[in-house]
Parts: sequence; C-alpha cells; structure tokens
Amino acid sequence: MSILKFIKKKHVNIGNIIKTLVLIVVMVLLLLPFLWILILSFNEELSVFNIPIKLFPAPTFKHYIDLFIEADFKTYFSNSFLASILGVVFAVVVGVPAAYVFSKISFKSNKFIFMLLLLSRVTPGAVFVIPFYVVFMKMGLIDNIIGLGLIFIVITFGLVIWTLKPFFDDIPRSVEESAKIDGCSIVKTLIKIALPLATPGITAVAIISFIFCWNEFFFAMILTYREATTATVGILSLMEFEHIRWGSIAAASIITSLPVIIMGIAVRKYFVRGLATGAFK
Amino acid sequence: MRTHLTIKQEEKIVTTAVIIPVMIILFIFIITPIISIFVFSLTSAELGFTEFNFIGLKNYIKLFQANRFQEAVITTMIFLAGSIILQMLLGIGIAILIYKTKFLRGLMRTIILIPMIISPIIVGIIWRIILMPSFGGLNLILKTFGISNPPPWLASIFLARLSIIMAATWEWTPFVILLVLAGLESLPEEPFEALKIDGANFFQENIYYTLPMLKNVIYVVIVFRVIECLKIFPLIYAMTRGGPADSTADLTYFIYNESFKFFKVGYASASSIILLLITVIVIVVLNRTFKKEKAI
Repeated sequence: MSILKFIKKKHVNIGNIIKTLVLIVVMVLLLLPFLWILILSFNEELSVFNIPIKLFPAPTFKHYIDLFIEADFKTYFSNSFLASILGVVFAVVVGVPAAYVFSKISFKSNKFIFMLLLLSRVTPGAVFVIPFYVVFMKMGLIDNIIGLGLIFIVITFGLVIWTLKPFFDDIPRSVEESAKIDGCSIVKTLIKIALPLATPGITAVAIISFIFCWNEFFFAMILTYREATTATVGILSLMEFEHIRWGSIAAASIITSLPVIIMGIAVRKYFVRGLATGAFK
Repeated sequence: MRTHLTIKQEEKIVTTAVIIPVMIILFIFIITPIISIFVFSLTSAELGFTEFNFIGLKNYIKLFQANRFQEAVITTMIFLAGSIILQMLLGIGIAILIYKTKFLRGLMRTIILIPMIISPIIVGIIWRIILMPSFGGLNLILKTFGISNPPPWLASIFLARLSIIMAATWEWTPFVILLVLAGLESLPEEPFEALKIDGANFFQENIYYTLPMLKNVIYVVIVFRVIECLKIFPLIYAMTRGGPADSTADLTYFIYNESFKFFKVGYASASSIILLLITVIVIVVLNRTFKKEKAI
C-alpha cells in the first residue's frame, strides 16, 4: 500500500514537473518580443541583426540620448501627459460622485444611464471619430491638446463610473446609516466616509484611466498632426523616413511603455477589473 | 439647515445635481455622435465641404456592392474568429497550468501584464520589427534552427493576416489567462480532490468539470475579446497599413481610409453604422447562446 502511494505521488510529481517546464517555456516566449526590443534599443543598429544572436554585440545608450536631444520627443511626451491628465481629472471629478449616486441611491433612469455608459466602452472608436473630427474642425480643436483631452473623456468616463461603483457597493450600509443618524447629509457622508474608504479604488481607477489615455492611438493619430502629437503617434514618425531608425524606434517604444508598465504593475489587481468593465460586481 | 430637508428630498437634489452633468456628457460624447453618424450616412457629405445632399440609402447600397467593403467585413471576421479562438485556447490552457502548478503564481501574473499594458501601437511596432524578412527576430531564430529560407511574413495575404492574428494573440492572451485564473481560484477545492480520487486524468478533469464550471467567466472573456478585437486598428496600422492588397484592412481601417484618405464622410459613416450593428449583433448572439446553454 505504501509503495503504491509512493509511486502515485511520484507520478503526480512528474506530471507537475512537465507542467512547470511547459509553463516556463510559455512565459519565456511571452516575454521574448518585448526583450527583443529592449536589446535592440541598447545596441548599435544592425549589430543585433546577425547570426548567431548575441545579447549585447555593440552596447550603446545612443538611441535614448538621441530621443532626448531631439526636442520633438520631449513635446510628444508632455503632450501625452497633459492630454491624459485632462482626460483623467475630468472623468474623476464627474465620475466619482456619479458612481456614488449610482451605488447608493436608486432612481428612475438608473439602469438606462448605466447601460448607456457601457455603450461608450463597447462602441468602436471608428464610430465616434468622424463626428468629432467635423465638430473639432469647426471649433478649431484639431491638433489641440485640450481637444484631445476632451476625446479621452469618451474612453475614461464609463470606465471610471463602472469600475468605481463596486467599491462604493462594498461599503457596508451600516457605516453610512450611522452617519445619517448622526445627522450627516449625503454630501457629507460621501466626503467624510465613502471617499476615504474608496480612496484605493479611486487611485487605481485614475491610474488605469491614465494608462488608457496614454496608450491611445486611433483618436490621437487622426485628430493631431503637429503641435499636439502624442508619444504613441510620434514614434511612428520615426518610421516615415526612407532610412527607418530601428534603434530609435525601439528606444522610444521602451520609454513610452515604461511609465505604463510601472503604473500597471502597481495597480495590477484592479487592472483586469478595469479592462473587463462591468463584468465584476 | 438640515431640518428643512427630508432625506428623500435631499436624495433627489443630490441625484439631480450629479446625474445632469452625466447626462450632458453622455449626450455630447456618445449619443450625438451616434445620431450624427447615422445622419451623415444618409448624405453625400465629404470631409471639409459644407454642402451636401440627402441621398437616402444610396451609401448603403453602394457599400454592399463594393468589393473593398465586402473584403473588409471578411477580414474583420477572420481576425475575430482567428484571434479569439487562439486566445481562448491558449489562455484557458495556460491559466489551468498556472493554477495546477502553483509555480511562482504572483510573478507570472505580473509578467504577463506587459503585453496588454503597453500601447497597442507599440505592440504593432514590436511585431513589425520581429517579422522583418531579412533581419527580424523571428526569422533570425528560424535561421538559427536551420530553416534557411524563412517566409517574408508581412508580404503575402495569408501570412500578413496570420501575423496580425499572432500579434493580437500575444497582446490579449494574458487577459484571458488572468480572468480564467481568477475564475479558477473562486472554484471550491473539494471537487478537484474527489475527481482525483475517482481517477480522472488531467484532460477528463478539465473538460468535464473545470470548463463547464467556468462557463460564465468564459462568456465574459469572449464578449470583451470581441469588443477589443474590433479595435485592432493600431496593430494593422503599425504592421501592414492594411496591405498587401487591402488583405489586412478590417472595417475600422476601411472607415479610416474612406473618410480620411478619400474624404467620403457620408460613405464612411454608412460603414460605421454597419460596424456598430455588427458589434451589437455579435454581443447579442453571444448573450443568447450562453443563456440558452444555461437553461439546459
């Protein structure tokens, strides 16, 4: 009996070892594309494109330094930053109280508005871009950071409300009831009790919204062309010339990705929730 | 102050004060654009011109007769089916592996965030560089393994489409993994032990027990994958610009071309309405199929 048990145990272990090995291979494959760009960005151009493949055939920081010497890229980054901040601040200021009201007060059109918000998440950007372009052209908002920030509201608004509502739902009724008995108004309860309790959620949602805006490409490409170009659009300008500067493109990709990777890892618990807006209660 | 208002009255005031701005934003940014796109689709409007005529359904008729539009719809469907099937199979498989082995689960969770957290345009750029014919990373690896004549990935119709699907799969499989893993972790442990005692092997266990239990999670994941897959534009733009021969131009790319390259706003708007309809139909159909299964 004990031998049988031993074999069975050992058998399970072999299965586990195989599974673990498969998993490690999968993870390496998953990381490889990103690592390849990282290697490319730290080496002299073309040196990486040889067989046998070497990690650092001709190490250099040139590509990164180039990016910061070129004034354009500094502008791209600050544009990305400003437009994203605008999109986030606006969505949070309007979205946080709205999420609270949706969570705590039941009113007539509650469900209907909530579904409309989901529509903003579901509708492909291609549906919105033409009317925005036409209106922006009339208002002089094309190639304008404020205009881009306004567009980002489409992305962040539903996200903030949908993701935050569960955080307010989680606050036990009893806490708020006791505040009410103490004579707190709804506004006071929100500020004094609900907001502090939901702060981690609000911070996470703000960061996730920022990531979404920072990564946005479709609207940014169509609605900006020079002054308000963002980083995601600016990288492509490195591709337009006859001599494509792969090293610079790789370095720019890394620098553009780094902030969102750090932020994303910081809020990783909430990130998937944010992406699957509405799926979690 | 407070004595003047009952709780009900106060609730009403607060709700109104909060909901009115929400309604205004929804109206300006969501409802108006959708309505105006519908109105545009009935006109001969061109980008930058102020004069246009209502031409009824002519744009739609023209659209359904246009080869490029039909191809764009087919391409969209190929991307949807290809990338979602691949992502679901890989994602569920890897999630089960991570769940079973318990090997560095926290680290895995963090690592796999990278593809989905970086900008889609950068995902496109990365894959464009990897797939370059002469010195792209993939072909270097293939050559290292002795395949002397690796294919020019982005140059032929079949391979270009496959490449876009590969890039999308790389980008979004982590999403499937993370959601399915969360679903797995919420399942009770006991049935797994019972199955083991009954002698169920790895595949039996997963096909007869785990997957049916995860049906709701899988449904949610597919819906989100569909929504996201219709926004695949940055990958196409960075990797192929819709080529070769428009074979990777999906509906969004078609709309972009028609409106911002050929300035046919009315015509492009009609295709936007079709895109919106396809989105809604796919989601409704998915909803129906999964609800039906639930009834059985």
